[in-house]
Amino acid sequence: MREWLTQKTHFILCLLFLLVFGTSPSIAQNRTITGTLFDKQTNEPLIGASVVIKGTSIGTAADIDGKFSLEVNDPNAILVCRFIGYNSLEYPLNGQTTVSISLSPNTEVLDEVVVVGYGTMRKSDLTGSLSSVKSKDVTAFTVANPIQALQGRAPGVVITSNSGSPEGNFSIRIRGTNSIRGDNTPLYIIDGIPSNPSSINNQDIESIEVLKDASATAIYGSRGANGVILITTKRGETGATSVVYDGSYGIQSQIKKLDMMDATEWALYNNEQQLNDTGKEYFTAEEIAAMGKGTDWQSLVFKDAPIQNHNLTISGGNEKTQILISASAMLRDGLIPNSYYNKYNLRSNIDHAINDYFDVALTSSYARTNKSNKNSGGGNRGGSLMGGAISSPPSLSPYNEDGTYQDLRLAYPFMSNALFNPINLINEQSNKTEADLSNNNIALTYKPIKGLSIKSSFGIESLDFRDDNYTTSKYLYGMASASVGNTRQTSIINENIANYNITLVEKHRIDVTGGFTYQDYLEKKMSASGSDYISDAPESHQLGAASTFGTPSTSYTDWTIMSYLGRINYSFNSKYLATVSFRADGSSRYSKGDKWGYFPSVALAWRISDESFLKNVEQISDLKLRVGYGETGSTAISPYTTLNMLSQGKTPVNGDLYTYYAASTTLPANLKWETTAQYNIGLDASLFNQRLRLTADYYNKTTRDLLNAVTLPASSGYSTTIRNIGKMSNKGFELMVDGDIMNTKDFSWTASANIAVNKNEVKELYGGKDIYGGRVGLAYIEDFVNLIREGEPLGVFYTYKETGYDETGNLAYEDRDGNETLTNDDKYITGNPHPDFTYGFNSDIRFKDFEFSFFFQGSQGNDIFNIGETANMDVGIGLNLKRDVLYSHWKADNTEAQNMAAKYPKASRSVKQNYSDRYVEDGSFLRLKNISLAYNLPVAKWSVGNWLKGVKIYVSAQNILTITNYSGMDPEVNSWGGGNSVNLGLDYLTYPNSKSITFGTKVEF
Amino acid sequence: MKKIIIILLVIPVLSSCQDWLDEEPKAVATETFYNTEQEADAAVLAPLAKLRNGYAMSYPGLMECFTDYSYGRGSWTSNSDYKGLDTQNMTRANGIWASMYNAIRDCNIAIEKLPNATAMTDEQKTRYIAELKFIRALSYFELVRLWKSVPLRTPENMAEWNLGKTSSEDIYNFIIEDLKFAIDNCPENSRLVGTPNQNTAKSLLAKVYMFQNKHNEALPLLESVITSNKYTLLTIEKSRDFEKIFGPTVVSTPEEIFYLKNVRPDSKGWEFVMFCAHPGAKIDGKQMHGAGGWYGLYTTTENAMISEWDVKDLRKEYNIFPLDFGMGDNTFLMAKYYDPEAPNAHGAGNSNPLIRYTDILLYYAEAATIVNGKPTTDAMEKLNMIHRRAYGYSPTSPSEIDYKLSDYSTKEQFMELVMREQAYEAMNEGKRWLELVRWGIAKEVIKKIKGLDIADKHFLFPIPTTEFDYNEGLDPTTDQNPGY
Repeated sequence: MREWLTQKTHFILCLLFLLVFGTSPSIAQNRTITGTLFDKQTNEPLIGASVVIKGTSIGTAADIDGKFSLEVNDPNAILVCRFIGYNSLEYPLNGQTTVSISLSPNTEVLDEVVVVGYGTMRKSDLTGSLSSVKSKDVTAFTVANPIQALQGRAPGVVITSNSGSPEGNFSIRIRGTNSIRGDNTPLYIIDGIPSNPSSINNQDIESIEVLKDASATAIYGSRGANGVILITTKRGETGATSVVYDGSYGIQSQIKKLDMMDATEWALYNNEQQLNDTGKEYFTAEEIAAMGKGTDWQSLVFKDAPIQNHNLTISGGNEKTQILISASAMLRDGLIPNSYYNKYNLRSNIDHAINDYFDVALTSSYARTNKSNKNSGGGNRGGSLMGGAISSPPSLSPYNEDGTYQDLRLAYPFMSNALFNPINLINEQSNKTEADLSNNNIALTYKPIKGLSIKSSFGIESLDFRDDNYTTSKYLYGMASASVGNTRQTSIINENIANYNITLVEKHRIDVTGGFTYQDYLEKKMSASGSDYISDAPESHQLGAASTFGTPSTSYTDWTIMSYLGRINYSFNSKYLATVSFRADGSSRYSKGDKWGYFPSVALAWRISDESFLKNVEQISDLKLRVGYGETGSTAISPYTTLNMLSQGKTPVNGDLYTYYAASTTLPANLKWETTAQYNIGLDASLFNQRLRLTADYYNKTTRDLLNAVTLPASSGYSTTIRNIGKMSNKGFELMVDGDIMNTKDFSWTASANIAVNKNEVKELYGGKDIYGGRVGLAYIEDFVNLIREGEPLGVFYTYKETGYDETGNLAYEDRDGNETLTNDDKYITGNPHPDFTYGFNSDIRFKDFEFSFFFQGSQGNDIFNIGETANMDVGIGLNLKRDVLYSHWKADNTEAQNMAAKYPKASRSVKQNYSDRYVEDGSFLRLKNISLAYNLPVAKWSVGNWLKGVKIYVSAQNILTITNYSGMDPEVNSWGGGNSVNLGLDYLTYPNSKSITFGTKVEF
Repeated sequence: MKKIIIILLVIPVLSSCQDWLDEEPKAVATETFYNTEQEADAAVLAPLAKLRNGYAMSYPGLMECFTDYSYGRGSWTSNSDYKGLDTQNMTRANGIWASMYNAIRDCNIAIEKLPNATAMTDEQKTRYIAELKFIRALSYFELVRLWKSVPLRTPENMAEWNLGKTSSEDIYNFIIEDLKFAIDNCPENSRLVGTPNQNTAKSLLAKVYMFQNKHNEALPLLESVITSNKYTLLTIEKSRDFEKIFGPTVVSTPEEIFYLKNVRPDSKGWEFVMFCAHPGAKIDGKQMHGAGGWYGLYTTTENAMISEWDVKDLRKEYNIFPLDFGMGDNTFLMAKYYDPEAPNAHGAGNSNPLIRYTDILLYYAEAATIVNGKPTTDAMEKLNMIHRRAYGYSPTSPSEIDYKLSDYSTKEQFMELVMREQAYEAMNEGKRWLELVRWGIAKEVIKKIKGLDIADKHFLFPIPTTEFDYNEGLDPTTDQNPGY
């Protein structure tokens, strides 16, 4: 390893040497050329088109009339003219000084080049399933994490917002959930290198390609099972330097508040409960009369908050060197005061041709994120910030008369002793993270002969982040305390890829790719803490001043993956296409002997439209059928899982803390790779002179050797062990349609729609036995909700069925086996968290200088288990409840009909709840994700000279319209999302999502 | 340049790639541990650390809710109704189950591995194994008392997940065997304050015999602990002096036989102290608990055990603290433990006195009386030691408040005295309920003091449903405790 790194150093030195001495610019001028650039078909001037003298860096851009002037020293120089959306043209001057050049529009959409694993391909040659999302859609509105911009854009890519916290907390599934234990998130590749997408600004993105079927992802082997998302950042282009500023400012607000009782209502309800349970009312009539509306805690906790994004991009270049430099700032405050996520990015992409044989590229990015968390959710009976915001009694206020915080727990004798004053948490508890992420990658490409390129790249991704947590002395629930944690993650990546592209005889085209890659990841952590401070001033920056110290901790994690890969693409006359790929992955995480996994794929495509029987059908511009099969893996286990390691801890003896070593709570076992096999059949069609484009795919995938934690009985002393336990399948259908409905000089209208259906099914489990999801423990219900059962989708809701109220007004449940106790045998499958289908619809209309677009996104048929709703039946502890509870509950003096229709049981602490079908709600929704109106200022008509190329101003709104029957705050929720793939579709006291109104401008120079 | 690239492409192929994929965690592997004395030290502390979860709040909290002298509040209220555990309290009981079995697992692993230690003498190995067997016996003793028949996990059957129940008799025999081994092989004095020694093992075995009504066998053990002269009672002058026994900064006292130790840093304190405290309670001008309090327990003068308690008994002012927190001005917090400087809910430094010298003196008084058929002078003296001390007199010299044998000459009269003294002396130590059950008077006493009836099934906890979910050796219909 060390030896090898030394070699690598030599290589970098050589590379630097070439960088410094490899270029030799030569500039001389003596005559001026003037000219005009225009569209070959419409004769419109091409404003901003670039003109460069071939072989030099001299160039300019066309002005508002398409005119340019340029000084040349060679009367026979060749002008290279380029414009986005047009075919480039090389124009020999042949001594002319005034020229008129027309470019033809590049209507060959099919010949678009798309990024695929370890290379690029002509879109028309694709044999696998891939969705491509362009910059325009990725940048339509500001998102904290650019991946969120994919929501609803690509069929089969389901993005669910887990919570509304400002850093953007979401789950992503491509073609369903493959793994119980794995995180099911796709592999993210940025400019060819596996890295973290959260750190880039969406404005820096040129395109995002989503590889979905196994024939496309198998080249990523053990990391491809969950799909692969390839992000390509913008790079410099040959031509005049362009400077673009894009900025927006928006105001976010809460989508929906819960309708809670006011103080009077709350007191009335509590009196009824007290009377039922203790025989006497607590509040007197006078006390109730004095209460009024009281405090609206939600409006104190959730405030309107700004979001802004600014990006400045400078790009340009000549024939040899192209650069792009960008700087951006995304600043997002959360709805909960003192929570924010601010991201600052610097990026420079440099491409340089050393000579005819060598190219070098540097991709360098730096991101700083500052985050302040106020994410405390869960915590039943008001035991969290969110819980306090919903449940605090409206009769109380955050502050005492002397200005100190009120300890709400002490207000009434029956009060929940878990209840937090949310304002105290917002102001006196701080949890901040500062992260520095730098990602540098240098690549050298060698092209010894035509068609052959050998690319060797070396990258380091380094993430360094520090958490600072403290609570002040005004924190009501403990002494002033502070802790600091530091984490350093370094990934070293080396990739060596050779590609040979050759046309054998006529019509036979072969493209061979092969290579070796290596990645080593190292993580080191440390943390320290202390409590009881004399002063709040130092926050977490003087841990030494603490009176009591926590035990400092450090940790170390290292994993390595090395791979051999190969792929052959064969094309016969562009009509018959075939792709075969293979990858061998070695991972340090698996047991000796099981370290290597092998992942093959094969795919065929047939361009039917090139067959004679269709050639003459005018309506069909292109028609291609694709079939493919491949196997991919997922690394569903953490490093060291197969080793028998002891965990270390401290325990008090002798008046001090002593170290102990004990076996871990997870019993180690020998494990093998989790493998996903996928079939895909797809059809690409382009109709009516390419104005209507359609892509349809059907897939069927099966994951075998599923890894999962098997729960062991508590009496074993272990909690779990991990085993290869079963099989799961996902089948689905995806359709993407987009079309140019109108396209004239003044008016154009394009629209696209996509829909995806996925059916998940657990095929086989260890011994055929059900696996229970993680227990959702509340003070008053302690049970699991989600179930893994053979023949059912992963994580269905498995609960009791409510049968109404018993004669005492308590909740009654169906006792299926009639044995008078409720056990798991009495439960039913009462809901399915997976949607029947997800869809998106986008429309872009341009009229003269105005642009209007809107984007709908939706999910149909998924159920949500509304755990938050259980709090409305947890009465007797003084917490606030939904207004409905007061006006519709079981009462002894009601008529039977009234009681049957009552939404809630008796106001009594004797009400015993279980998870039941009562909490299962339809989570379907249709949401207007974005609507935007933009105006391109007619700068061309202003006589400001050609330094100003365009000014666009726009106003847009996000999430302003949602159609749903869901009764909670928002249907886009997945409280246990993130790391957990089984506890799906649960909603419990989660940071609320926001809607926003945004104003922005884009200025191009 | 070409060469370099060729080298770069070829190197990985030629290298012995497999080495790159070996995992080298910077951590300790089971295979290389359990060899040296320091490693054996660390292995003994592991089960002690696991016991902490169960004893943190659930065990003492539940046990105290069931006593004759106190009541649960908030989510603990229903426990004092004697109508069985509700969901949340069931979870707490399940936590005790898991905590005890976690400790048993750590004992079993070390008991299996230590005989093969490479850097210890046989004598050293036996000594550590004896300490582990003591901890294992303690864990099983809690399990057998709370659940009766339970799965018996030993080093031999550690790898079998599915394991049926073993009868309580066999569990008791296993405990006795472990404790006999511990008596023979533990160090004479604890290596550290909080690790077992010969006397702790004798004390626990005596207690085990008491719970089996084998007073004959308990008596010589109790006598041996008392005559070892290693333990004495501290003298108390005013009620606040009990802080010297139960306070948060006390490292050890001559009353300590086996305590679960706690310290403030690192959340390694005792949560039960937080459970008992109220944020508004100030003792000696200082907050009862640095992080507030959950006041899950309280008592009231409506309870005869409290109203009939002599105010001259210094324990009364110390153990209960008057505070009207909304339930009336005759309510008291249970105040044996408090720590004004506890940094957080888990930060109180008070030790949990699992076996205290006073327990042994009371057991002795009882055992001697039962064995002899009537109280003896010696039995009365042991009882008086505790009684005198509580009134501020020297524990070892006769005083004016001494009980006289002539006033309590029958077994019944004397036992009544012992039973009352036990309540006041061990108040809030988590012991009272199981003693009431042992004496067979729980139903009668609770009816008399609290006016409530107890159904038979509530003398045992139900075996956790999760145990049935994952242990196929148990049948939920036949193996669950009766009534559940």
